[in-house]
Amino acid sequence: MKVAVIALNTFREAVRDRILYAILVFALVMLAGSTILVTISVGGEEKIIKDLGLACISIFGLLIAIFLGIGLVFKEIEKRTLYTIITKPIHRYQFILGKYLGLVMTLLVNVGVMGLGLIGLTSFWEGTSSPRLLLAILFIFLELVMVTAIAMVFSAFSSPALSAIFTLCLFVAGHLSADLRLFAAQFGGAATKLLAETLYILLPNLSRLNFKDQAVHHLAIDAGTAALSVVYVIFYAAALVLAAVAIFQRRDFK
Amino acid sequence: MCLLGSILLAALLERRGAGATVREEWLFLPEAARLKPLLLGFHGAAADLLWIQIVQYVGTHWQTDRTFPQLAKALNLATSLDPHFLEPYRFGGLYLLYLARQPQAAVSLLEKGAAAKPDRWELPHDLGRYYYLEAHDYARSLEWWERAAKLPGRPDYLPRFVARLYAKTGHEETALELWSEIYRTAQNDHVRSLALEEIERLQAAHSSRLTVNGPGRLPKSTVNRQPSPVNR
Repeated sequence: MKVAVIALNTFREAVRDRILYAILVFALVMLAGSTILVTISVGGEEKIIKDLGLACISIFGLLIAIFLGIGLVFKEIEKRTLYTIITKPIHRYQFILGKYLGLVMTLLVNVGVMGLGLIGLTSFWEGTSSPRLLLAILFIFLELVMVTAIAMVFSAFSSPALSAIFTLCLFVAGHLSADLRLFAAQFGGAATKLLAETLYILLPNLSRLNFKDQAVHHLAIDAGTAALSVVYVIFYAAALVLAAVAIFQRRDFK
Repeated sequence: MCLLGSILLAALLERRGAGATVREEWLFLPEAARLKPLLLGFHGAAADLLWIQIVQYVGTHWQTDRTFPQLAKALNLATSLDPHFLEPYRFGGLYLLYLARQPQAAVSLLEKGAAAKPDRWELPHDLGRYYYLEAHDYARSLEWWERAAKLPGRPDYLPRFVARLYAKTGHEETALELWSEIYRTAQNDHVRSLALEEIERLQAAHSSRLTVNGPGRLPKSTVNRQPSPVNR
């Protein structure tokens, strides 16, 4: 119950933020702008709209996730609101979990609005919209759920600027981890291979959550892989939230 | 004042740029294998933007120097970034063949596309057209068109092309069988009459050869004769 109250408050606080609306409006304008871009292309209009639309949702969603995620704990400390909260009968884990869920709700609404914009655009262009597109948008949201959890871990002990840099680095590393492993397998020695393998396992594997190609080219999606990817996100995000809770528990706010 | 100055400077720079000759774009195009991981999953969008750039490149060079030195490389990059993107194969093949006059590069691009998208009839169709119209290699044209004719969504005329090519390459028996099949499955009278004409032409040609060379191998057509729609 307490978690739900904190989550709802975090959500309310986030949706009041004007920068969030600025990002959202800009994303929607960019989505609509892709229809202008297709006029200078030769063929492939539907593909271009879908590709650029999904990229827009991904990039602006990432901006929102990082922008909101990094200030999650820091803002509360800076505004000193945290001190009044921790004196109340609330466990610290409840506070972190509530904050995280509130942010996930905010992301869901934002990705939902952008996703509806894209689905509307493709429906207008093609006359129909593929369920694969919806799945690709859902997996972008799941990717952002992971990014938010990463941002929150850093937010629990670091400044917003550093948290943003660390989160962005992990986002990039998460997309490159499979290539890192491949690279080590081809060129590295035993130690490099071991290091690459360890990093591959530890880093968030964000490339597994990319179903954009399947949505754009109407390729088959393996239901088992998709389901396992959802479970992977839940487990990884849970591990990150637990890490954030552990860091937050140790912090001294006296 | 500063804004006015910046607008004037921008206009001045624009005018300086307009007088310059076509500059050489894309002197450095990275390899797809190295570029793709760095795109962090946005390779599809990158391929789209590159394709739009390619279209602009072709348009600009067509209106100016009519040389396309980087076209094949750029098309190769776009299709490597997104191997399922059909348009760079199809239109790129046309640009390479008819504008850049690089048939080898066009064939390589179309073959790459046919391998990447084995379920699409368009790419073997375009290869067949190249071998037929440009290279006059009817055997290879037949090979590609036959492959295209078996794929879903292919145009109705493709089986007729294949049948004609069989006749042209001396495989009259197969040609007759294919025309009989076209006659049997035709959805409209025009195609049916066309098929009948071809069957009669093949049989007439065979009969005239029989009188000169003796019995041949051409069988009787399997067509259950109906009055030709043309003569109806």
